[in-house]
Formats: sequence, structure tokens, C-alpha cells
Amino acid sequence: MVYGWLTRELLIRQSTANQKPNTRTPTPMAIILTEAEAKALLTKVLSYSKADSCEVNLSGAERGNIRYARNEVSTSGALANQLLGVQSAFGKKVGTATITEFDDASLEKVVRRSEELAQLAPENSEYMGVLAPQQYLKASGFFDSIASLTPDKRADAVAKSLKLTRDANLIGAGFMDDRNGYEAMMNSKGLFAYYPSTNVNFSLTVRTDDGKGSGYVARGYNDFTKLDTAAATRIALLKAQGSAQARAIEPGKYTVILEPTAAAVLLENIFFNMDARSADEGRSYFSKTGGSPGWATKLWMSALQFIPTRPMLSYPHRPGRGMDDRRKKRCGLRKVWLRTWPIRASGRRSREKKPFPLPTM
Amino acid sequence: MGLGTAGIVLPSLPAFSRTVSPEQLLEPGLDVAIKKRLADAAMNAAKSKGATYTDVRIGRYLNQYVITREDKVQNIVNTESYGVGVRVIADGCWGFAAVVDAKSEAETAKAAETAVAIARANAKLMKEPVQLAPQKGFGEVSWKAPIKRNAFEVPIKEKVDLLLGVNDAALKNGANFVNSVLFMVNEQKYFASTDGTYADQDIHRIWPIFDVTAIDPKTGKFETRNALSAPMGMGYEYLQSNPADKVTGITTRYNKGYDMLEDVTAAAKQARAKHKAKSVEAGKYDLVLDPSHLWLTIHESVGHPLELDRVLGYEANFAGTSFATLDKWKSKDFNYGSKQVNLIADKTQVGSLGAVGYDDEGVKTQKWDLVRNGTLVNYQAIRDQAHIINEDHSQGCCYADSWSSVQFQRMANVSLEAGKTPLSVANMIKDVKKGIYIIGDGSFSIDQQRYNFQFGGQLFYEIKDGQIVGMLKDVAYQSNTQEFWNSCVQVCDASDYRLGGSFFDGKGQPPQSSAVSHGSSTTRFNGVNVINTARKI
Repeated sequence: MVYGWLTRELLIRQSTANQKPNTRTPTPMAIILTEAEAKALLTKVLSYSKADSCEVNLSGAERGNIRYARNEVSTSGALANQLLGVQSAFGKKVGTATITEFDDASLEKVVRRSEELAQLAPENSEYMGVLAPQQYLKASGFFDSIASLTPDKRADAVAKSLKLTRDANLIGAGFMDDRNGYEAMMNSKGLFAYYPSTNVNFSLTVRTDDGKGSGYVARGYNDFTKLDTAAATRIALLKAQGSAQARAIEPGKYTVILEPTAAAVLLENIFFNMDARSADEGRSYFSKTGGSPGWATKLWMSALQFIPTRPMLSYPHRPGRGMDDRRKKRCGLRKVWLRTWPIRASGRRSREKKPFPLPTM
Repeated sequence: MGLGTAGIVLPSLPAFSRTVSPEQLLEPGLDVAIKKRLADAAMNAAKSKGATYTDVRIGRYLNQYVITREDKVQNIVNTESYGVGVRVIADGCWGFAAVVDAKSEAETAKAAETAVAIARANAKLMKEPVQLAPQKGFGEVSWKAPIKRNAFEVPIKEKVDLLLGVNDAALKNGANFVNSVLFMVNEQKYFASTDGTYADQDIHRIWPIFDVTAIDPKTGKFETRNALSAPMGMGYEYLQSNPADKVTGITTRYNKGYDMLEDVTAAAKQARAKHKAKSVEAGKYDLVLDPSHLWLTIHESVGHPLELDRVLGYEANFAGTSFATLDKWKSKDFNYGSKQVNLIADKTQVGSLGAVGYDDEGVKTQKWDLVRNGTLVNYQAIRDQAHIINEDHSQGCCYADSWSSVQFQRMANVSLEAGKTPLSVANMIKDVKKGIYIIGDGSFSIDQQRYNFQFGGQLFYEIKDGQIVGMLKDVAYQSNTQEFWNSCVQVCDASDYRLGGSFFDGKGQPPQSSAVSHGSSTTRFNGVNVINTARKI
């Protein structure tokens, strides 16, 4: 099956004679805005605000993908998306509304809607207000090699992988997904941030015909020129061939060496269990008696090191999220992630009273 | 789905969702005559470009989530997503295009032309052309979920009051923390194809859930208990429980009506009681599994491995493959389970999450056997897979989670048939010498071929010499799919039959979500290996 081809122009509402009278006015606009365009749009949205404070987040992205299985392409597609979200606050009453249309009437409407929701909402004692202007580190997660990617280039990359699996009489099933996008935000305290980024992810499972041998490989980059699908495929091939005659082992204690992909997947799986709220409340693996982080947290602190703005990571620091990059001062995951969460309303003690950005693993 | 120990993990919303007011959720969608015009425009455009088959899905997806914890409303989410997806076959290859907010014939025609262009571009990568099982057209038809009360018509205040009342009851009965959520979904889907079907469908789903946590400050340990509700293909009437919907016993369970307040009150007390429960001694036990628990084991060890796309390797890089390979099916004597095991797929079951009139490629939904008297007899397949298992028709289990997603094979409601011989839960337990009665679903782990697994639960009760003698904790059972289903010795009769299910079941790259129910009566499995999850390794 061929999947999800959605062109930019299809996403943009078009003016036609068949539109019904109540259809909103079309507003053609690029999916990926420049910094100046984003700033102008966000300034306009903020001008409609009547709330005590307001924050507007804007994003746009163009994605493409190819999926293949049984040694042939099964689905492929492209997707474009843009979204604007407004968060209005009256005191600690907060409301959020989102919209995909950017004509003036729609922009004002989404601001009014967020204000209505804020007025209806109960007070959120954990609301920490909007951020003041920040100083950001320079980072470059944008590469034209992905921004200019075409379906043909995508297919060529996958063809290299398919040739290797076919020639080896093995069976490949893989997925390549690329994204070119940006995030921008502006708030009523004068903070503006804009960050364009690109990334490509490639994963592949190669199996022997009888299914006894299997090898997996995954790669992620900001720069398409760094993705070598053939080299990655050779690794999966070796694993598949090497595991075809693997012997079963008994349960017990073994020294286990994890390749980077395996370690990263392990981290992903524990990521959401590392929130400070649960640890504080005493209902987390990372709690100790009476609350607050225990031994496990310390273990992770010593084991995990954060490397700021490492260029190979799919998402180096993202000023578009609006928080300054204090991660450069932090070396342990605990000191980033566990301090990220806001204080619980019931008055339990808190280790952190200021917002922190999410970490990159 | 995901219920973490420390709170409820919320799923992402459908693509291109925008926030709307609760009132907008009740506004009518496009008139069916307009939808037909949009669909015809797409089909004509595709045909003019050389497509040999076209289907058009016009979808309006409405969601309302009400999210609370303790005395707070954390969020109320109302969203709408509308658009059109066009799928074609051209030069023997599938092509797909979608357009957001399309309300003109020009837009749907352009999407169709794009879909044809994509199909042609990719045709050179195909080894063989797509083989589509024939499907007759049904003309202009409609299907509507038989709900009694549209959940979107219920004022937000009534829902908030219910959840805050639930939270208050939990805190008053021993819980330290409580999260509660109401998920409500309405899919308004219009399908048209060049086979001659124009199907307008209105689908509703609801899922009320909570989790409570009780902490022992002396030990620093915490215990949880999640809701025993089921996600249902029903309206708000699911929350109007009456005595006939309750299954009484060691704890109350629910059928077609759910008493959330009653359940959370019991949950808070049970979470507190778990602190004093006996930690299980590892070993072999006869397991008595309540439908509120067994649905998940059915989902993971039967529903998934019998999806034909997994069997064939199309999900090898993401969701996984299957141990239930074609050679086992072809042998006609593969013992999936004991003679007591009859597993059926059913897209027509009233009140289930998967019930629709027509699937997302225009096939009228149906019911069929997967395992009959313990033997593997069939898979779940769609139109372009049917020929692989020598079928001349699709089984009608094609689904896309959005107008912007391409439809593909998804799990039907897969259920264990109730026992034919009259048998109550009490009589089943009476014959168990050394066993554990498990209620509610918990954490689980299963390999990518859906073979070796481990399942926990919410409530565990020790059975000795036919009597329930007390609560256990730290229980999980380990087995493999074939060994487990062959250890099935008894299934209670239809009077105990209930549905469970998954509101957010993931599959595919890019990932898509679907909702599916699994029914059973209480079932006994002999000699299953139980481990103590609190053991020190």
C-alpha cells in the first residue's frame, strides 16, 4: 500500500466557486515560516490578547516517509502540518486553544477561545507564569540536505538497503522518516524564540527466511548526508545471519553489553517514570521512604551524562521550547529531568521553583 | 493505552485536530449529499487519470477528554479533525492522498490526482500488482452505533462533578492520590468506492477510568488499583449503571453499565488492603481469570498473532511478527489451545469498540472463527490479503484512525466463546485446590512473535481447597501462548460473559491507533507458572 501523500498545497484551504457561504476565507501561507514571518505572525496574535499573560506557540513541519517489508516498498508518503496554540492566563486560571487556520479572523478567534477557557477553568496553583526573555546558546539542528529531500532521494536510500537484503537472500522490513520543520514562540513578557530543525530516522529489521535469524538497526541524524543506509543495513544483515543459529540460554546473571541503540531504547522506556512529582509523592521507583529521590536516582545520576548540543542528536537543544539552555551546566539526568516538573499544589516541599527545559538523552 | 503506576498517560490526539467548544461537538457535519458529491468528484478524477479502483473516506473525528486528579480539573479537551483521504490503484499499485478541511469538489479531485501520481511513481517498486478481493457495492447505506445518550450532549459540569466526586470518594476511603479521566469519541465517517458503495456511519466510544494510589509512610511502599471499567462502543448510558449490570462476588465487576463511584470506593479500600496482603509464593497454580483481566491476554496472545499482516512480515520492523505462521494454519491441526478454546473475530458485536456496519474499504462487517475446538482455522485479513489465505472475500477488518491515515489491517474484536455447559464462577472456584483468582488487567510483557509472555493484574485472591482465603500481591504468571491456551480447562457460561478492551491500540509506521474489544466469561487455566514480582534477583 502507498501511504499518506499530502502536499503542501493540499493542506492550504483553497478559494473555489464551490465553497459554501459560511466557509472561512482561505489564507495561503507557507508551511515553513522564516524567523521574520513567524515573528510577525506571533506579534499579530499577541496583539489580540486581553489576558493577564499570553503565550503563543507556532510550529510547521513537512515530513516524508517510506515503509518497506518483504523486500519491497509497501507504503510511502509525505505529510505537512502547521499548528498555532494560544495559552491565556488570568491570574492562575489558564486556558489553551489551538488552530490550523491563520487568517486574521481565525487568529483573533483562537485567542478569544483560549481566554474563554481560562475564565472557565479552576485556578491552577501549579501554574508558573510565562518566562521572561532568555539568552540561548547557538545550536544548529537544521540541514538543507533534509530540507531539500525529494521522493527520489528517499527511494534511492531505501533501494541501497533493499539491494543488500535481496542479494543476501534475507528479508528486510524498514522505515525511513524525515522531517523539516520549525518551532517559534512569543509571550506577553517579550520572549521570542525561533528554531528551525531537520531530522531523519531510519530503522530496519532483517530476518532469515525461516525467521530464526533477526537483526535490527536504527539511526537518527539531523543531516541526511550522515545517513548511510547501506552501512546500517550491513549491520542488520550480520545480526540476522549471526543469530540464525543462536542457542537458547538459561535464565541467570550475565554481563550484558548494550550497543548504543539498545541503551537508547532502554532510556526511552524509563524516561516517563523519572518525573519528580511521582518521586516526591512517594509512588515511584525513584522514591524513598517518605518521598524524595532515593538510591535509584543517584545511580542514574552517576551513570548518565548529558551532552549539550551534540550535533549528531536528532534534537539538540530547542530554544523554540522557550526555556534557556541551562542544561549546559548540568551533567546528570537527575538534575535535569527530576527538577523539571512543577511543584505539587498540596505544599509538599519542592527542590525546584523554576522551570527547567527537558533533557536530551 | 497506558495506565502508569503514578498516573494516567494520555494518548495523542488525531492528526490536524483543532480545539473547539463543547457546543461545536454537537453541530452537524456535512450533509450526506455534499459528501457524495465530494466523493464522486474524487472517483471521477482518479478514473480519468487511469485508476482502476478508488475509495474515498470523508471523516469528521470528534474527541472530548475530561482529566482530573484529586480536587483539580487538570484539563478539558474538545477537538475536531475533518478531512478527506483518497486511495487508488493505478498500474497495479496503491496510491493515497489526503486533504485537510476539504469542502470543495476541486480539492478532493486534486487529492485523487495526486494519489494516482504516487501510485504510478511507486509501481516500479512492486514485484506483483495488488490483488484486491472482489466486493459488491451496497449503494447508499448508513450505520449508526445504537447509543442511548450521546456523551457530547451531557454538560461538561456533569462530567466534572462525576470525576471530582469519584476522586473525593477515593481520598475518603484510603487513597493518597487519584487520577480520573473520561474519554469520549465520535467518528463520523463516510466511505465511497468505485465498487458502488456510499456508506455513512456514526460511531461512538466511551472510556471512564481512574487509578488510585495508597502509600504506606512507614515502609515507603505504594500500592495501586485501577478501574474495572471497560472501554465501550456506547454512549453516556454506560455510566448509568443498574443492578442487572453488576456482577457481585469478592468485588463488584460491571457489564454494560458502570458505577464509577462504587468502583473507586472499593478500589481505594483495596489499594490500602494490598499493603497487608500476603506476597505470593512462586510456583504452579490453577488460575481463575476474570473477563476484566483475560481480555488483555486474549488481545496480546490471540488478537495480535492472528493478524495476517504480522504473520506475513509487514509489521516486522515495528509491531512485530507472529509465531502463528502460515504452515501452522495450513496443517489444519495446530493446537492453539485445548478443546475448550473457541476464539472468534467479530466486527458486529453490539456495544463493542470495533463494531461498525462497513469497514474502511467498504466490506460489510462479519463474524468468523479464528480457533475452533482448539485448532487454528483462520486469520484476520483485508481485501489485498485475502488471496494469500485462499479466501475469496475480505473479513472486513480494515481501519484507519484518521482521514489522513491510510487504512490497513487492524484487529477485529477477538473474543473467547462462553462455555456451552452451565457453569458459574462460584462453581468453578469450588473445584480449585491451589489457585489464584485474578481480576483486572495490569502490566504485561510479551515478545514480538506474541509467544512468551508475562501478565500481572489488579486484584489477586488465593484459592485453597475451593475457597477464597485472602488477598495476594506481587503476582504475575508466565507462559507461552500455546502452552497457556492448552492449559484452559473450563469456561464459565454466557451469563458471566463481559467485554474488556483497548481504547488506544497502536500499530503501523507512522503509528496509528485503534479501539478493540475482547469478551470472555471467567476461565480456568491449570498449572500455570506464577512468579513473585517483588523477589530480589
